[in-house]
Amino acid sequence: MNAIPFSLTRRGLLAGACCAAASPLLTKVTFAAAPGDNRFIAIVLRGAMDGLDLVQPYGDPLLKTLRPDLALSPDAGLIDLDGFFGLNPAAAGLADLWKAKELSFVHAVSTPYRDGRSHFDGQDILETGSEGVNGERTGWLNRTLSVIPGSGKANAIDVAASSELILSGANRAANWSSDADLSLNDDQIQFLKRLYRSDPAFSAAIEEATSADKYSDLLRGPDKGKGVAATARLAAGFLLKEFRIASFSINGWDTHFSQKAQFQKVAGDLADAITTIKATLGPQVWSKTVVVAMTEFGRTARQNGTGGTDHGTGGVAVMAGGAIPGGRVIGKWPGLDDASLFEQRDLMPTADVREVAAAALYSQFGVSASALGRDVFPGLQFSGSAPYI
Amino acid sequence: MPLEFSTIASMRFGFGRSATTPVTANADQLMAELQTAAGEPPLFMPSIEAYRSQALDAAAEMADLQRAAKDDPTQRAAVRDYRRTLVRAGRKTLSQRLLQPVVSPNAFYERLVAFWFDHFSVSTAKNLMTAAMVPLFEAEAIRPNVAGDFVTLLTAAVTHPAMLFYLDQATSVGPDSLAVADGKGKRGINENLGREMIELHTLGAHSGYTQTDVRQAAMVLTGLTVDRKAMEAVYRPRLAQPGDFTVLDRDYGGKKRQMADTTNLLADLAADPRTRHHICLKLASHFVADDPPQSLVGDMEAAWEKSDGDLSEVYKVLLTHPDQLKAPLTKAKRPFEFVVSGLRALDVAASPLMAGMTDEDGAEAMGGNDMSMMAPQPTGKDDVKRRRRLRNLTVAAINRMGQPIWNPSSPAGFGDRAEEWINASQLTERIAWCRNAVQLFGGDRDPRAFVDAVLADAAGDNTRKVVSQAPSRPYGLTLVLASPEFNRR
Repeated sequence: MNAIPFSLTRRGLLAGACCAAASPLLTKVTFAAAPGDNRFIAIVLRGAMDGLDLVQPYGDPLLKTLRPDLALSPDAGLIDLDGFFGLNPAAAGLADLWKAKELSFVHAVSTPYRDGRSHFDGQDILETGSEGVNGERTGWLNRTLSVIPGSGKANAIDVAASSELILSGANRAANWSSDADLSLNDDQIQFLKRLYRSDPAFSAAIEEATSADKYSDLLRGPDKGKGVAATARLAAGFLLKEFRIASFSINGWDTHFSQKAQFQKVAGDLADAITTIKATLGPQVWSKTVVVAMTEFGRTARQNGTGGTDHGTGGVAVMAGGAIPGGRVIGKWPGLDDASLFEQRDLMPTADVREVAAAALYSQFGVSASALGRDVFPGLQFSGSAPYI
Repeated sequence: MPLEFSTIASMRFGFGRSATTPVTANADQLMAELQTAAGEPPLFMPSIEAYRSQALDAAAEMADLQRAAKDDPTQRAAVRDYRRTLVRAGRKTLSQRLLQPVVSPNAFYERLVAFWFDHFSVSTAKNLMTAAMVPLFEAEAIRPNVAGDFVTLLTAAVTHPAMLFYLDQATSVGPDSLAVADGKGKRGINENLGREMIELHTLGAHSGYTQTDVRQAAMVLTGLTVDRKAMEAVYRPRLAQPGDFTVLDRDYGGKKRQMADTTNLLADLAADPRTRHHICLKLASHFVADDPPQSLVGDMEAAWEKSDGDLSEVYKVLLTHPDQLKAPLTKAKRPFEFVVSGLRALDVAASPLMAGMTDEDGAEAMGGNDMSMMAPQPTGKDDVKRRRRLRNLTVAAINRMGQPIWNPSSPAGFGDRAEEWINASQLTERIAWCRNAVQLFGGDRDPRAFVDAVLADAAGDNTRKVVSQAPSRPYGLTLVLASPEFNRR
């Protein structure tokens, strides 16, 4: 198959990324092949997930002062993690993974993006892995495919064209939704292929559709289902086939107003997604899997005047999988007093969230530290001795 | 060879052609639409007053039911049932919204309405009250203003109750306002509208504003809220943050806070050269090409500057610019445009089948205000089946394709670039749509005549050839609608 002429210009990517900032609409799964047996799933949490709500530093008395309506404590349902941090009960589905040491949280992290607080730019930087707004134009997970040892670009990946920036770029990655169904006979498909042969974008899309359709017919079974769980099941299902890398998004984290109810829903979605992946993969493959969930930036340390939080900076990354040494809240805790907050407003980032993803790619696919700091996350200082893996 | 203007008019600036669509000969005809159409009520809201009063009644009824349910949990079912009734009513309005451009002779005007609604996105997904206000937002803030001064459109959109609910302005209160001081206003500042008004509605992202500008703009906006009894925007000085504020080096506020602080801020944002550039580029990118000719954008900006933001002057340049007329049709139709143009191509609006369906329901004929054929009470088995298929071709199709009507996934609206809408699962949905549409509405058309009718000189040789070789008439028609040329504009 030919490489797909894919015009990845900045505005288009921004428009695509920004679109998903606030809504509960589901996204497609994007996936790619890679050599070896290990699996990696990136989940993009769009809309700026409030890390202080998911993993609450209840041991810090300032939390209650800053967030009178949002702060919980273990006697009010918060699931204690380590005596200082607790997990929001909306994500209670993850508690068993924590106990099994298959779940970690990395606190007070963010991309290098500072002071802009635009979903637009924040997601762009998160997905391109760039240092700033005018950086890379392709997704870091796509560029990873070029530097996995043993993966010749040409034979590693199956099909092409995707609309999520994180896996977009020159390498092949396919994209499919949990309820797509082509249901045409071979003759009809041949006509469509001929119809599209003079338009490269349509030509690539029909190739991808026919191949993904074959897989999903096999995967789907009787209950293709709806919602985040269906998306997660599809992603995991493709990883049971020849694919090794997948990504999808969970939207709806933009909680400006009455955060409680909205956060409960999306935190539940996140827990569902991760537990569904584990159940679908089965114990053997799960033991070779790392899931990383990241968001474009955190939210204000103080709740705002309307029971919500506004756009902030530092947040939380989630790591799950049988291949991680879990059961830890990792990271340097900056504190919540005014002087410790970023611009006296947001949780201060004390580490680069790109390092979390880099560590997973290092351990799962043997991508070298130099390639990670040069090709995947330009400018990232990654030594291979990250505390995350 | 450059395309005929009639092809450009229907495909680039309209919702596509059909055998019965009259040909548009020149740009003046398109411009003339803007004047006639702006005064006409839309199908989904023939009377704004009637809609308002119904919505107010519904809100009052809902509040009563909720109050009753609070005291008596057995009443909760009544709240649920009423909510369902409202959602059903909303669904009917959605169907009418979809049919609006299918039946309208003013396609360029309808495209502009869709563009500007998207630019000033609000969503029905927020809550019931916002959902009820969104159709009003389109009818009151967008439709009458798409061809006037930008500042008028901007002000109407940003200060409309739907926007104030959607971006949380309705509950934003100055932290040092009188309402907070006397303990009655517990809530405080919310910067959502302040941010998006600068980033999305006017200057554009990374155009040089700061967090301080956003915060100060949110302060200027305090006081602006919604009178829930009248469903109207209102300025309440008691909610306003006192003092002076600086946004982008200009000062607002003062001793006495007033609504004019907000309208002055909007006027300044509208007049900023960055706004002019952001919007001309966005218009050209939407209508002409994902990366439009710079000359076109530059000339549109010049027309904006010369006319102080008269959008009609900008559209004239857009419609007649030589570089636009030379540009090939490369944009991908978004799902809404695709479905509307598909229904138009098959003459569904004029189809006796469609009219028959309304009659069966005892509803008024097309053009009346009750087009309930999309969500009717079914009468027979075949009926149920046909109605389900029809819904599958309209509102449900657009949902599945990822562009639900009046429900964008963020304040930035829906994506507009080809790579976002041409991919495997999208194409799969579209092919399925084409097959179903042809089954229902294809009739005995000849695929070769169909190519001429709907694609005219935009049809490429390959498409003409493949269509002419199709194994059956219906599959030939399906191929026309599924072709790259039909999916682009």
